[in-house]
Amino acid sequence: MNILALVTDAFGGFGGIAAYNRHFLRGMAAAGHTVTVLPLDGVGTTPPAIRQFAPKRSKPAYTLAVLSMLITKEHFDLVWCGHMGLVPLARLAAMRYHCPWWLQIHGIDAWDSPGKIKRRAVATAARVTAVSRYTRRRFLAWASLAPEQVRVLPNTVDTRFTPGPKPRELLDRYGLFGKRVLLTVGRISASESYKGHERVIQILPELLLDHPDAVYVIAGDGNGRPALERLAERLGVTAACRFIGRVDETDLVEHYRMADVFIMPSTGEGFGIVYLEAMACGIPAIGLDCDGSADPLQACALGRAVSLENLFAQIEASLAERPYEAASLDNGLDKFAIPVFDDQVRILFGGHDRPADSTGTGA
Amino acid sequence: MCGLNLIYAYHAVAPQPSEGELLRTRDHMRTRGPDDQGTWFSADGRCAFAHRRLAIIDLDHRAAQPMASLCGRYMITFNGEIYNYRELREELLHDGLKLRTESDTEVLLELFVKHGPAAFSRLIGMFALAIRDEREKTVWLARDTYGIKPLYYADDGWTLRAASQVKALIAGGAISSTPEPAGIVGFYLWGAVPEPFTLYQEIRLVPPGHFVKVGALGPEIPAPFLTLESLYQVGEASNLAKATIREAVLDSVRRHLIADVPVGLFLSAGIDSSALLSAIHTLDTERAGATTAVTLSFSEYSNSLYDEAPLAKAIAAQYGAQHLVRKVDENEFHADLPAILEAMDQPSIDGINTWFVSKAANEAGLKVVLSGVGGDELFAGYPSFRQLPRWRAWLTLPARIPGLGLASQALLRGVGSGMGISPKLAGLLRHGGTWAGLYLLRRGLFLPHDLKTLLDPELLARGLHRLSNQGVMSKIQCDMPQNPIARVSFMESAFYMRNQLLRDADWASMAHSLELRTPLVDIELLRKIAPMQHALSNKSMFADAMDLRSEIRDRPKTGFTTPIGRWIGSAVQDNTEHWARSWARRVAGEFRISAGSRGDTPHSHEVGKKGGERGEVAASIPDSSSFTPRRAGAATKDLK
Repeated sequence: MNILALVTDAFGGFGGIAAYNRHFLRGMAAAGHTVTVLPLDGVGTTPPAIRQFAPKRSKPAYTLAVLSMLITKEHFDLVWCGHMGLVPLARLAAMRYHCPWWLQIHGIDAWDSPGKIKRRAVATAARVTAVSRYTRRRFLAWASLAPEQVRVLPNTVDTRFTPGPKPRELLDRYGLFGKRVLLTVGRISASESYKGHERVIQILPELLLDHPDAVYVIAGDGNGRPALERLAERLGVTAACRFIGRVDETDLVEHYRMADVFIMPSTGEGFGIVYLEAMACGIPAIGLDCDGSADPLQACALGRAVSLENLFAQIEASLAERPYEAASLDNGLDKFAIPVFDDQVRILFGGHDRPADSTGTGA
Repeated sequence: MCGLNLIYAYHAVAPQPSEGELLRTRDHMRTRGPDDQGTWFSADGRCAFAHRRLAIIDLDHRAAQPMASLCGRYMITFNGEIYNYRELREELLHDGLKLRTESDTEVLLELFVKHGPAAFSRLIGMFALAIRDEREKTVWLARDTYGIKPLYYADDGWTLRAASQVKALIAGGAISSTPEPAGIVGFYLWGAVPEPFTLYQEIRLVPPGHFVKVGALGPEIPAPFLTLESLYQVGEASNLAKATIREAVLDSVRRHLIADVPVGLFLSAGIDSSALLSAIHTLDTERAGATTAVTLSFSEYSNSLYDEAPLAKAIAAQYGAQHLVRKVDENEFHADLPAILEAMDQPSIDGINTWFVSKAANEAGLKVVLSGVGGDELFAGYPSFRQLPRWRAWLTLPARIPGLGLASQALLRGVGSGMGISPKLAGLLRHGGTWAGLYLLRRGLFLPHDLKTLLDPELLARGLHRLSNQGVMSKIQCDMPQNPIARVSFMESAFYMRNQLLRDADWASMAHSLELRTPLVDIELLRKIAPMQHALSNKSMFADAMDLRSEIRDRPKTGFTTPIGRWIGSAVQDNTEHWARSWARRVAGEFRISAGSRGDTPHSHEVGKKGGERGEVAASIPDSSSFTPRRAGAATKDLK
């Protein structure tokens, strides 16, 4: 099958969505399909059977690039749309090629009903894959699709995330020798305050009473950082906080390994691949039970999905636990391994090499 | 008649089914099956079945469920009765199968082994079932054509769960209680939650006459095996023939009497239940003599036209049945009310009569009864058979004039409220142009416009959109036979009877461990009657065909023939509005239906969770002095 993939970013992209798209596109290629990727952003190396065009950086340029593609003679059998924001273009492409289209939804972008144009376009999708059960449920609350059309394909975790000793170089760099390290990895966007950094900072004063050696390391950057720094200062816990900025993908594994507990009490995760990455590095992970975080956290022995009321108690309990010997345990992470993901992609395409045509007008 | 449930962790990342959850769901249905119970786990631990049994056919433990096929590849958990199982059994024995039981369950399972899902269309009866194929690692769900038996399923994207009751699924503790706007709005529109919706977004009913295959990807889109719509699509119309009607009814009653325990009867003074007793008497006089006929009597109606007991007694005496008159008074109603609301599986403004008559049957030691439900739908018993075609003829043209419907509604609402003009009359031109609109006017508890002051606008809009878009209203619009009488019959059967009468019959009878059988809701009977429906004008032909005495046939419709409407009014302690509306408010409060809007904020939108705001809907219900009550059916139709 010849597949046209419209994505925000994939190969060469940064963050959870790009990682997910890469895995999915690789899975399609592994299932024997040829994939052409039109990314909004990101430049990277692609495996065989995947061709990725140059990024367009802006939405108008991207729209123009898609329209240019549509007037070429090339034909596609399926349009794969990697983000809610690209739905109208995907619908247009599917109409051009008289083929079905497939929508991938990641999280908060698909939780609330979009405008009429997108809503109507979504109703014509032949299939939708959601990254988590929660995202699927929120999507189905507004989308005019049968529940059976919306499947869950959870995130996967790269094999480079493995347990290991605390890296001395990083402990030295951040002044963490002899400390119990709480770690969050994620953007600090003022508009995406759902990640929950402030919730952790707010409980630090009380936590430090029983655990004076605790330090909260915040990996990530964004326009929300100054507000967090002010909050830490106001609460008198600046010394127990480390704002270390954005960590490069290649250094992530070592950063997870320096932590004792991974904590991200987010209320807006579509899935939260960072929980998987932390747990794959042998670090216990804590999140809330009110969004997509519950999927990785409830499926793995190292995960704890708790209510906001129980967050403090869970952090205390996790800090009190003996260092976890993850490598020796069957921790449930094998369910999120890449071969399982690829197998799921194959099953999703199995018997659906040409998903039922649904190029009608929809609702 | 039993209770079934299952958990199937079909997704690779889903945790294995927990025995605790399986048992919590199963044992919430204790009254559905007090005679036996069982569980089964698949070899890979990914699929679990459970069952509670009310033993009716082959009372031995060997017929308990979940039951494995002879080859060991398949496993079944099943609720219902297959009335043609003896013929099917003969066929299987002829094939050389060595069946181990005398039960219909084993026949059903082996028939599936032989024919796959094509077996479902050969079944006559009421059924909801799940079959596991251990080799293919699939699960099949199926439900009878009329939808007599319920089968609810919830798919969260990892795991599929199914059960005979919504409350049992919720009791398992693993299903999201995110509300379904279509279920909430549907309840206020119709007085019952319309299929396939429930109060919960994640829980749906398997469509009647459909099966659902669940494989590695989860449930597939339900596929039809025999739909009610298809049975109404008759080729050639035939003339009315009393003999045909009589034979068809006798055939159905004969099938419905098959049991290894005594079969009783709900007897009112009406045509339908009398016809059933007449049929039993015709088939087997001795059996009629052994039949216990149960009639409700209300002290408020002693020696009045509304008291059905004297005529019922005469009917029972005519056919030699043992007659049991059970008196119910207001004190008993109030004493039972908490248990009634607890047993009510989904909100409904009906079902109270069935509760009491089932209670009486249970007290009499019965496990099975026949009910006359369905007679009005099949033999044109409701006024709607006369009214809707007439309204349709009058309103089609005016309703097409752009803006007239809205303008007339606004005008009549404005000037009419002080003049006692009902909201339904005001909405006549707006809704009267289509069959769906007419049916809403005829059966609706509230009109969509009324709900603007009752529910949050966004919830209302989402609910109406989902009702319209996902097949509830469109079904009325599209799938109907051409003949007006058959159209109304289909609408009443596929909507009012299926969503209200049959659902209420299920929870109210099963709460008393009683199997309620419906000989007038039978696909073979429909096959024979449907070609004649065009010529029916009322139920006199049915009464004549069954040789009923003239007092029964000529007895005027008495409307609210029970005081339950008044008791309900007193229970909700508000005499300023019609009881049905008050009762809807009370029921909504009991189910903790949220009138909130978005339903998408974590923790802010769950139905029935502890700590939820009970009765918030009640606070926003407007004065209903202009409410036009539904026809009397609500409180009386379920007693047949």
